[in-house]
Amino acid sequence: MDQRPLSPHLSVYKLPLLPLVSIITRICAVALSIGILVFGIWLISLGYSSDSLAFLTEILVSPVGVVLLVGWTFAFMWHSANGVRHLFWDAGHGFSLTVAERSAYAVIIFSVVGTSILWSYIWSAL
Amino acid sequence: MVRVMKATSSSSRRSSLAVARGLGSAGSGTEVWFTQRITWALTIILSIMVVFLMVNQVGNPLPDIKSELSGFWSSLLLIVFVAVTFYHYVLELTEVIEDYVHNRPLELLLLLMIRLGFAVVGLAAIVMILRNFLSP
Repeated sequence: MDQRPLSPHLSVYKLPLLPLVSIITRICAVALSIGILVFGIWLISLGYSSDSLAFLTEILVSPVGVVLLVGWTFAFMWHSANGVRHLFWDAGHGFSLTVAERSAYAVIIFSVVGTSILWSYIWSAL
Repeated sequence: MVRVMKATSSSSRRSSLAVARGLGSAGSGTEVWFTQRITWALTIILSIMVVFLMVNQVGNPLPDIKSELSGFWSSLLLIVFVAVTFYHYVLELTEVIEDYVHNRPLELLLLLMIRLGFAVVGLAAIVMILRNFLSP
């Protein structure tokens, strides 16, 4: 019984735009849950001591830290945009294939452009 | 209790085994669904506010950031943000784990661990935001 194949047989499908956007949203969610824990720990250090705050901040503004922060920004933009898309679906709008594909492109464009704009601002403020 | 009453009161097409196991709708799914949507909307709004709050601190020395974030409104925003988003991410990870982890003991262990982990970090963060607010 346990050895029987399970439906849906994911391996026989190509990955078209809509499921691709969907799975990236999930990956972003998992990435963000780690990011929110890191932010939580940073907030803990904020009240704990100036030394721990300086230590954590130094890690976060190191090259590796900045790559992670940019990744989390992108994940945040993507996940939020797709979250709004889901709220529209939950309210009963935007189910047709054309609209769903257009809103998928909107999510992609929004997260790329949004991340670029935010980080070019951060870069200029440094 | 409710479940059993529902199952026995309907002139049931279910097998007696299904009734005994309490299979079928729990009768309260909409609430969970609706709560999730509310936390989605709140999470988006609060996250945008916190992103603006934090991006505004870029380039300032750390002691200034620390005292800036100790203000009443900043502290309040951060506390509500932590409470709502940590809850949101517990729900989010719960869905992911329920969908992909098919080993029941491991699934339960993971569900327990994320609840424990997010509760500890979230509560500690709120306590420390309060501490920073009270003695900046």
